[in-house]
Amino acid sequence: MVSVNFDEFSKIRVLDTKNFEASEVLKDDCHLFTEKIGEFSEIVSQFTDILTQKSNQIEKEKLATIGKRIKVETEVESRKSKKLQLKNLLKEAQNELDRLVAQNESLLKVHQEQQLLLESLGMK
Amino acid sequence: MSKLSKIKINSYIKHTECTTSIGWSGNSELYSVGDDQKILKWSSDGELLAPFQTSLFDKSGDPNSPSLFLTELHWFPATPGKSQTNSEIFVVGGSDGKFYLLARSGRVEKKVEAHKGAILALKWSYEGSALLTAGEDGQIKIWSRAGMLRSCLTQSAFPVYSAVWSPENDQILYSSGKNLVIKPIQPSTKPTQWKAHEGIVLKVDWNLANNLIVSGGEDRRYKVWDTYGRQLYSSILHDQPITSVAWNPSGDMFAIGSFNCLRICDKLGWSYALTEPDSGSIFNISWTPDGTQLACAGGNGAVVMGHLINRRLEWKNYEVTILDDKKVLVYDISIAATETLEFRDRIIKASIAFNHLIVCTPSQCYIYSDKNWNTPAITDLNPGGRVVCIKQCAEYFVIVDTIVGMHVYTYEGRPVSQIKYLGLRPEYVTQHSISISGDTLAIKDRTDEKSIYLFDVTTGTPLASVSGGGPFRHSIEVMELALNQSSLIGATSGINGRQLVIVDKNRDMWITGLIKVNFKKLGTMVDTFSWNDEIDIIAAMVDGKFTVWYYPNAVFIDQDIAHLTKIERDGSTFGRDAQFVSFSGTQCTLRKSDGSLVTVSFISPFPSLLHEQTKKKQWEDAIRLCRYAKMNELWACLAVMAVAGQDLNTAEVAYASIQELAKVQYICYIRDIPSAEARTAELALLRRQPKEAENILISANLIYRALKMWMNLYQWDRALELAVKFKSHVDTVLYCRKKYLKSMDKTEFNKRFLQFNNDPGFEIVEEKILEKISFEEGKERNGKI
Repeated sequence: MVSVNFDEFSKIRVLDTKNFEASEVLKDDCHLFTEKIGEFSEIVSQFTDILTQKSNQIEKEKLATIGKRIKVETEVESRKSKKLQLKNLLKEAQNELDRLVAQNESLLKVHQEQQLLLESLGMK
Repeated sequence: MSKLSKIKINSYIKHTECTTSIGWSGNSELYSVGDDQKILKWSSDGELLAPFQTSLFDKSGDPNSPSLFLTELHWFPATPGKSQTNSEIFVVGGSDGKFYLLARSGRVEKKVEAHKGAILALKWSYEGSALLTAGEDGQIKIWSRAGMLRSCLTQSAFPVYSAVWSPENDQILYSSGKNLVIKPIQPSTKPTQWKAHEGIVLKVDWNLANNLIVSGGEDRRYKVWDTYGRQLYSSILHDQPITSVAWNPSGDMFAIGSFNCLRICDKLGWSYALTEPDSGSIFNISWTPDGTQLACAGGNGAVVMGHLINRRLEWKNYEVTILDDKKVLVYDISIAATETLEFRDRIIKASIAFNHLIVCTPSQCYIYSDKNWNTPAITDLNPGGRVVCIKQCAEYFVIVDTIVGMHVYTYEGRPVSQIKYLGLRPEYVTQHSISISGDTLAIKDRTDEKSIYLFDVTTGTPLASVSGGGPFRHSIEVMELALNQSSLIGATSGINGRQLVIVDKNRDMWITGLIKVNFKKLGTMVDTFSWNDEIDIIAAMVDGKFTVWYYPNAVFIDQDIAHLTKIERDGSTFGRDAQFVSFSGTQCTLRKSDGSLVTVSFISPFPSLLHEQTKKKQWEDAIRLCRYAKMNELWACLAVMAVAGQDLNTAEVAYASIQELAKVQYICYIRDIPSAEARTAELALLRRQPKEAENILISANLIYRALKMWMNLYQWDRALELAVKFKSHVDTVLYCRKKYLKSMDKTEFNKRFLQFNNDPGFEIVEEKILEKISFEEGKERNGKI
């Protein structure tokens, strides 16, 4: 059964005044609540954003560290190979030097022989 | 002043995956293929040219068909004797076992199913008439130019990683596991096979010009071989397997590639230079057709272009360094002065000798005199040709290029002649197969290695004296040849005194004059030899000994004492396989097999003096020189020279000094002969040329003496023949024969003599004959012939 009455502001009401007031209060409370919840979720999302950001950062740093660690590890190897490379180049240069030394020696000998020949020609 | 040889490189990473192969097109563009399914086109300066559009990699309608990866690329070669810009197609081999003929435009002309599994090697033959492919299935197939199957050459148990044509296109060299195999194309001929490496052989190459083979393998060594499978060089152990080898087209050097490693080596194996590009394993190396630049395909997608800089040439007091591809530094050691020469184009070949430096670029030839480094003589070269070889002599030099053949110039740059003959293949010419002198040019033919062609330098025509202008043939293959270099004067001018020395396949050394080809052996087991660049002296490495012939002509004049005219010295300082670089004045320079140059002056200065004096017929001075020097070799030389120069007094003194009593007596006998012609004839006899002596006597109308000569040589038939021919002294011959037989206690058995004995026309009356003989002798003595 629905009772219709008028409130003190002469407005027609389906609910009785008491109920109406309670529902008004409930409505306001609900509004407040949703607002608060909204605020909260915003804060949470901000927080998660920050967290993901941080986690990304951490991830990056982690990778960088791993990279660096690998680099350090391989540095030993790469230095070895670099050393080998330089050694090879050195060997090459040494070979060239040996060749030039051999040539020089032979030329010196020729020089000496020529000198001797000159002297012997002068002697006779 | 000298700088280390280096490889200057530029590395470009444009392929996103491994670069598998590269090749130069005729107009010096580089094409590279990679596992990123791209074909890239490069300029020779390393710039990426317009992208190469091709439908090759399109999966025509079937997206599920396997992707195509290319393994090999080879441009169609230029036709021999033609300009190199005309090739329009190239072939690529794929991982799908097919090969594809592609046009320059990128159009796929032909697609041929060739092997099961990937194609690992493919190569056009040198003149482009055939294509060989080799694959993972161990098969080698030969295809026509249009891609039709000609034959399936072989089936081996291993994947064939590398296969190349022989220079003559009649054999194929391929790798089979640790072995190398040379398989003739003719069916039913036996292949040559030898174990080459301790690991799998990854790459082989066979050079067109010098006929040598280089191979590289997983045992981390590279080796040089001759075509019989004899190892000429084995490298030190490398850090990584040798993944590629490639000969320079002119055959004077080769490149080898390994992981982050590129090396350029001399043809004898020793290394010019090493560089370590950041390229990954080098899978392929390709030289430009002119041999000045090379490109490598790197395993990390790199394309590396490089060329050798700071190559050094030496001659007397000059050191020439080819600094860069366009710059040359000349250093005069005697006055410590340098000259820098710059060129507009790349330097292809350079040569210094006989006081002149010659530098060839693709279009021009610069000739510098050592007196003037500022203004070279310049001549234009045939564009599009490749200079294969420069060879110099005192008066001229010859440039061999792939289009015109041989071109002779003076040092003023004036063209003298152009020499060509049917069948000449200029790309086969090496330093050892051609020789030029002031009047004659000699060249050995590769298509028939027994043939030697001789030309008159000034006219460019074949020497008419030799078998009517054609080539003359030696009994076996000729490996090296050289003409004497002395400038000839007087009686020995022109080709009269020109001599040719060859070394054949058995390593025997022979000498001949050019008027009449008559080979005389000088030595056996000759590794390398050289004429002196001024006088007629030969130096050679003979069986490990350093040997010098002070007068090689002696073998033609007096073989008995020829061995006295040479000296032998210990050659251990040179090691095995040394090669002559120069022999000028009294100094010899050889390159040892490890690449070092060794100079020696074992050679006394006296023989060259003696050569000069005897050429000018200053016999008194020559004798004085020999007395001063007190060298047996010198006396022997003088003896032979005096016989050659017909100076009997000198010959007598010289022969006496080397204790050749028989010769001294003979010379004395000759001196007492009244007529000059007869003396000349007797000297010819001393040289063991009775035919020549006979000719001299007959042309001087000394018939009786000719008869007597043959009779003294017991050549009765010839004596009788002559007597009958000239209708004189037939009875004398018969009489002498009878006397001879009687003293030997024999009866006549010669049919012709029997016939004449029975002829009543030739009655033998002893008194009459003796009278005739004394008449002849008296006639000669009185000089009335």
